Parts: sequence; structure tokens; C-alpha cells
Amino acid sequence: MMYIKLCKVFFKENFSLKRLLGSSTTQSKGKTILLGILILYGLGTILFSFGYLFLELGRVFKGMDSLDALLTYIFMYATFLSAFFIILRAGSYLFNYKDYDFLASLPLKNEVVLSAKISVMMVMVYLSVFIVSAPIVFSYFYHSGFHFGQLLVIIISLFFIPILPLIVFSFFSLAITYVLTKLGINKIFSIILTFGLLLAYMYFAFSFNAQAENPFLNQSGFLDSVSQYIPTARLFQSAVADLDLLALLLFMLVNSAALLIFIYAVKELIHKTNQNQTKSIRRRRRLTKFKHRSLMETLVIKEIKKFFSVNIYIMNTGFGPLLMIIGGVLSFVYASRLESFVGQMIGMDLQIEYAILLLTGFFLSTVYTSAISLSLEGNNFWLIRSLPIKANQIMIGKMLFNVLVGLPFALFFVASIGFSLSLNILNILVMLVLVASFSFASSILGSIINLYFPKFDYKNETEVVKQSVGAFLGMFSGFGILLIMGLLSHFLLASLDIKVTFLILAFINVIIFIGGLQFLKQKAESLFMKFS
Amino acid sequence: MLRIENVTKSYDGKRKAIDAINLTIQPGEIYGFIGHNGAGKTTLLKSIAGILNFDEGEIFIHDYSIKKQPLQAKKLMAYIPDNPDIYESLTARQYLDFIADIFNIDLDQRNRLIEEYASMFEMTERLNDPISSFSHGMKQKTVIMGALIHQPKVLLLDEPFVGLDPKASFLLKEVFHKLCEKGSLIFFSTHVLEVAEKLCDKVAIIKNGEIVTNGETKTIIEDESLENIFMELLKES
Repeated sequence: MMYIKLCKVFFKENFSLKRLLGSSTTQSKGKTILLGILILYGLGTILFSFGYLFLELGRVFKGMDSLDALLTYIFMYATFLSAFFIILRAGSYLFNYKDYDFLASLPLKNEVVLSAKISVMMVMVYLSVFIVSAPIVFSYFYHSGFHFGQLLVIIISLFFIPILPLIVFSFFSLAITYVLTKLGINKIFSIILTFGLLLAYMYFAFSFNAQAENPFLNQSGFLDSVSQYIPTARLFQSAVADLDLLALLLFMLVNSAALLIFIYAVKELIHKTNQNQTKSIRRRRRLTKFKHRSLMETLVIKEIKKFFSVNIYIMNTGFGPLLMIIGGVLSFVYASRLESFVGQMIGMDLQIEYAILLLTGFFLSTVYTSAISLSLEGNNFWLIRSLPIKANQIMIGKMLFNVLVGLPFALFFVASIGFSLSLNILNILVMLVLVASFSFASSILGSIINLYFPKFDYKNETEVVKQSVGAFLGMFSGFGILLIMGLLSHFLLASLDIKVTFLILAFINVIIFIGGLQFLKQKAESLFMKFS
Repeated sequence: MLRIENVTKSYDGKRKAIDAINLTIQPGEIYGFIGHNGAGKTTLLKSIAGILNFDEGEIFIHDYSIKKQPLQAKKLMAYIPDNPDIYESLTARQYLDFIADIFNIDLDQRNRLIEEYASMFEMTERLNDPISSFSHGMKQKTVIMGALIHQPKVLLLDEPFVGLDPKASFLLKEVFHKLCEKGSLIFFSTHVLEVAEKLCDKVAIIKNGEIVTNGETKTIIEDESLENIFMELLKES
């Protein structure tokens, strides 16, 4: 069957280990093992943290005699994750796929190609839906008692829940692209929109009231209205909770019918949007004023332009800075509540400066641009390589950009929380020094990681930003430094003053940075030669 | 037979990329399509291949309309783009198998043809290598092999000689002749006027989306070179 043949080719093209690693598994056993460990670590972190959270939540819901609310959680998380992935991926998987010219010239039915494309796009959706749902399902069965039939119904349903988000948010994604193209607005708008969606989700996820007797009261009300007003959510809940097979059948039928209608309704539209790839959009642009800039300035500006031109890049690495801005501003607005919260933390014997730094370090670790920006040169790598620029200068430019994306916001975050909590001014200053040194150290480590784990042959940037070894390691190198610093400070704080401890840690970061800089000067050129 | 009737295509509703193009290409003919950058060559080729919709007119491939019967029409033809951007995770053999599957070529025939073309283009040793490891020319050869595997009645090529080494270019020209002997027709765009002059039975010159001249190569060039004729036509119109 042609659908199966297409799926096989698309899967191989999108998800082969070779694509993830950038080289064959036999050639790079070390990379394969490392990737395996990282995937296991990531999975473990998600499963354990979510598992713990939902086990507790399940306990609360059981106490309220509304354990079925967990099923609504499954529905909501699956819907949200699907929506998020589809907004990010529908463009490159459905409306503007790169192999359109090739496929369109072959005697293939549009609906067959479209079905295969949707199937490939949904792989990541299903993977994330199943991973995130697993701990909630575990919690549900832990508190209600295991029932194989219910588990089967949940597994079947999880294949169908993402269908409606697929339909709705594909159009949403297309509408955004269409409006932005028509109006000539740059990508910032769609980035803001996607950030908005994420923030809305976070608002929901953290919307419990810590002061109230029942901290989940707000969410519980929201969940009730979801299951009340969304018919498919109600069907899903009945199918699982009451083992209502009719509800399951209806749930499957509604979603399958919607998918079929979607495929037949949009096949021509998708044919058209793909054709428009070749259309040259002529916009009135401002006349460019030519300026003479220094080499480093030019390199950093190039990185900034790249950052703002790739949605997935800004979404993944810009979220930390955004949260730091929001956190910094909110710390002024809710200074008194923050103080009382901190009072509780101090009661728990937790150093507030240490907690602020840990949080800032976490946010900064999510800004891993230097670990992937070389890979993002992709097919254009030859261009910077052919210019009279030293390899280490290119890497330093990328590192400086990373510092620029994270550090100013981190400084703002630390300073605003520090002042809101009326911390000792000297402590704040030392914390700022430590944050700055951490930013430089993690940035240079990112650059080194990217030199060893580049990935130039990608079809779309998502492969580099979300699925490459460089991205994994870039993020975890920041966490790694944090862990080392945490352990060191644990021992140092016992005997030394907090300022001296932080200065020692900053000094270690400076040594890491200088070491990294020397490494780049000595090795970058020879590593670049290997890519050619 | 390939019949292009009054085909017009505009991209933004104003500027016409191709304007009222009429051409008929008979089986056995090698037809060259010449024009400056942005003249509309690729747009016409993609319209024939069913990749782009066109606003007006009709295109028939052996009496099948590309608009109304695209599957039947596409089964008879093969299109080779100017940029051989294909599935890089596949090996050359997997790619050729995939194409053969789409055209429903039986195993004996596909194996025979893959071996024959791989040997001809000196690709036998590389058939099991991933396409990502190939040079531009080798990718181009792989795409050409894929296009030939179902023995198309209409072969469309966009700048086919770019990136090919001299031997592969020579072999491709041989393939053109062999296909034409079997009753296929070749329609290709090129910038290399010498190739068009020596290889094509007929040529068409396009400028700003309009055909400025077409016909038998010998008749068009008479005693001059195609390059001179081309430059003159660009100045005149």
C-alpha cells in the first residue's frame, strides 16, 4: 500500500538514529551511548517528577472523592501537548513541506501523501502524550486500583485525543502564517502568540491557591467545566471511569470522522499552500543603511537575526529569559507575598540567596544557543567557513550571543528579587558576579559541545533545536555546573561566609571560562577542518 | 505526445511568469527550452509536471490532462529538478526501490534496470551508500536513474547537465537518444546553448514568460550560432 511505503520513507528520513546523531551508529558508538543515557535521564526526570506530582494530586482528589478529575488531566495534557506540537510543526509537515516538488511530480494521490505526512507529524505528538500521560495513569490506578480494561481504553483513547487539536491548530497555524505573510509582519507576532499559549498553560498548571485549605480548588473547578462543556472530554471520562464501551466507540467514531473530513477537505488547500513556497513575496522594505561594524559585532548581529528568524529556536531558548523578565517584574508587584513565602523557606532552613541562584542557573541553562548555533548554519556552513574569519572567532561570536540572550535578564531577575526581598546589597552584588560568571562558563561549554556534536544535515531546525545531541548536552552542561556548584556551596557554606563562598564559585566559573577560551583558540580550527 | 495549450501562470495575480504558451512536442523529439534567469522555464516545467497549478490553458500528456487526470498523466512522465534534493537518509538502492514501488515496476525489471543504469553511471559500488554521503553530481545521477526506472514516455528535465561530470553528461545524452528511439520525448531547459544546438531536434526560446521563437534547431540558427540568435532575440523583444 502506497501509504505504508510513504510512511516508511518519511519515518526513516525524520527519525533515523543517523539523523539524530549526524553520523552512523557504528561510526559513533560513544555518541549513541551518550544519547541513550541522556534520553533515559530525560525520561526518568519527567516520569519521576510528574509521577510524584500526580501521585500527590491523586491523593488530594481521592480525599475529595473526585479521582476522575485525573482523567480530565490526561485529556487536558494530551490536548495541550498536541496543540503545542502542531502549532510548531504543521507548517513544515503539512503546509510547506520541503519534498513537495518531488512528491507532486509522482503519481500519488494527495490524500495519501497528506495522510502519511500527518502520521509522521503525529509521532512526536503521540510520544510526548504517552510519556506525560503515563504518570497520571499510574496515579489513577494507584489510587483507584488497577483494571486492565480501563488501561486498554485509556491507551486506545490516547491515539484519538490529539485528532481534534490536530484539526483546529493546523488551521490556527496556517491562519497565523497567512495573516503574517499578508500583513508583512515579521515572525515576532507568532512567537509572542506561542509564548502566550505556553504562559496560559503555566498559569493553569500553577493556578492553585496556596493560602486556601484545598490548594487545588481552582483547578478542580476548571477541570469540572472542561469535562462538562467539552463533549469529547466527557465521552473519554465515561469510557474510562465507567468502562462505557459505547462512549468509547462514539469517541473513536467522532474523532475518526473528523480526521477523514479534515483530510479530504484540506488536501487541495495543502496542495495550494505548498505551491506557494515558490511564490516570491515582495514587501516594501526599508532601505538598508550600510554601516561599518567590527567583526565580532557583525557575527553577533548575524546570530541575533538567525535567532529571530527561527520560531522553534526562540521558543526553546528564549523561554528562560522571558520567565526571568516576568519573575523580576512580579517580584516588585508581589513583594510582600514573596517575603512571606521566603519567610516560610527560611523556616525550612533554606538559604534564600542560594534558592534564587539555583532558579537563575536553571533558567540560564535553558538558554543553550551556543550548543546548537553552529549546527544551525546547516548547508550554509560553507559560507562562514570560506570567509577570512578564524574558527575560534566564529565560536566566540556565538558564545557572546548566548551571553547576550541570557545574562541581562538573569541580572535583572536576581537584582529585582534581591531588592524586593531587601537582601544585603553586598550579597546582591556578589550574586550578580556569580550569575555573570556562570553565564560565561556555560556559554563557552556550549560552544565546545557544538564543536564536538555538530549536526548540519537537517531538514528543519526542530531537529537541531530539540532533537540533537548538542541540544541535550548544552542544556545538561548548565545543569551539570549547577550541580557541582550546589555540592561545593553545600560544603563551603558550612564554614565560610556566603559572599566568600559565592566569590569562590565565581572564580571557578572564570577558570572554566578561560580554559574553554584557550581550548577554542587551540582546537576550533582543527575541528572545523573535520566538518569540511 | 506533450501538448501545451495557451498556458498562463501568474504568481501574484499581476506579473505573469508564463504567458499564453503553446507548444507541441512529438514522441521521439528532443526539445530544448532556453531562456534567461527568471524567464519562466522552471515554472513551465513544474506546471507540466503537475507541481504547480496554472491559471489558464491546458497541458496534455498523451491525451491525459494534467489538471483533470493528474495520476494517469504523471504515470507516463518523469521530472528531474535542477536541484537533486532527495531523501538523504535513504541509500541509493532504497530510493530507487521506492520510486519503482510507486510506479509498480516488477522486481525482475527493477533489478535489471537498476543494475544497468548504475553500471552506466558508475554508481554500482555506491548503491548501498546513503544519499547524504553523495556529491551533487552523484545525487543528480541517482535522481536520473530514478526517473528512468519506469521508462517514461515524457521526460522533463530542469538544467540536467549542471553538476554532471563530462562522462555522465555524455551518457545522459546517449540515454536521451535511446529513449527517443523507443518513442519517448525529452523536454529540458538549459543555459548551455552549445548543448541545445548539438542535441536538440527543436528549441524554444522564452523571454519574460513568452515564447519569442520556436521550431527546428537547424531552421532557427541557419548559418549562425544559437548563442548569436539568442542574444539578438533578447535585444529585439
